[in-house]
Amino acid sequence: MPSYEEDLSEFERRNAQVLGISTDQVFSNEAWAKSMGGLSYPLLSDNWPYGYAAVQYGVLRGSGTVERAIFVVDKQGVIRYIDIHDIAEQPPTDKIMEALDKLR
Amino acid sequence: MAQPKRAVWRLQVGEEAPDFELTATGDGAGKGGPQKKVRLSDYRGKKNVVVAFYPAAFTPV
Repeated sequence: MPSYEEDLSEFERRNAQVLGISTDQVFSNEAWAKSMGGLSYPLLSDNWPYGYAAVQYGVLRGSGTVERAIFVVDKQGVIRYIDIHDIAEQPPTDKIMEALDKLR
Repeated sequence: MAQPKRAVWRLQVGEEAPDFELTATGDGAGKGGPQKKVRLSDYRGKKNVVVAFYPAAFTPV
């Protein structure tokens, strides 16, 4: 997640809101973000019921952790781009921007 | 029964994004803003949304 901070103006230029989601609790996300100097987008807690949104998006693993995944949703609420990555990898930002460019 | 390593259910491009309402940090996480609820459908007609799932806080990447 931290790497998106540098790209924030690029997201804004494309009229896009970033929402980070994990199964961590709000206070944990807040502390984590603070340790990185703060973020310019909110972190959402998918922990009640645990992983409920992640299940609906098909990104909750059997082990109970969430996959690293990006869903670009347009203004009509339709999914326009999906990228699901191994936990160790960061999804490529240029592909996300490309997907957003098609929407404006 | 062995647990599947990857989730089986997959959404497809072109499908409606499942709505969610989750408790969130302030607009800028880590900046001390008050907690709030964020609902995906609140952005409908207004903004594109990049929904970014990530494994856990304090992960290195």
